[in-house]
Amino acid sequence: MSEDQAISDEILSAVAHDLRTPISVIVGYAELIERRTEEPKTREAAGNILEAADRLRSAVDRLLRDARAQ
Amino acid sequence: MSRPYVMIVDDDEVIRSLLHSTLPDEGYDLLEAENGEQALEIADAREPALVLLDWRMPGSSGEEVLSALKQQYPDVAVIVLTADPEEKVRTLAESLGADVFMAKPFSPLQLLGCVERLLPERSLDEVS
Repeated sequence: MSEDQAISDEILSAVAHDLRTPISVIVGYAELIERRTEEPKTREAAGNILEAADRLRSAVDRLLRDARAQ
Repeated sequence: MSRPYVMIVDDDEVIRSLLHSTLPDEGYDLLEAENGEQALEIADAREPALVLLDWRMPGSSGEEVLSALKQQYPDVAVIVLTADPEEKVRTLAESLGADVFMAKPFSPLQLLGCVERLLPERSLDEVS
């Protein structure tokens, strides 16, 4: 692996960490709230957060995949 | 019989808090370390049965901590959590003895299932 490639890999790894870590917090707490509450509107809100976070995760995955392919 | 220790190792305070909230206070006692050096000090004092280990941390990396833990305590179970689940990282973690390799974002329910599967029989008895 060239030095440039190694630097690029390290940057992408740092970006992946910085983007996915906050998504982990959103997904994690939303799942815990959805699982632990019996209040329908709160469950629905938590479900909506999970759906939105899943879309965000997919977008980040696509961006990182494309960046690594270049 | 004493309760086993489960140690959370992550430099991100919010992730540590999430992991703490995910794991029930039953059957085991939770420990927290905010970096690799602290994790190894706590491991020496308490010998945890299970470690939840972040891979990318400032200072000692997850790779270094996993290697040291498995050399010193071969029976310790380790769940590696990483936001960069590239195949080469997984291969390296598994070659160093990681029991589970989990990508962030992770499902708390899935993580809890892994914790209960990996903990020694005695703790499962206490949980049930």
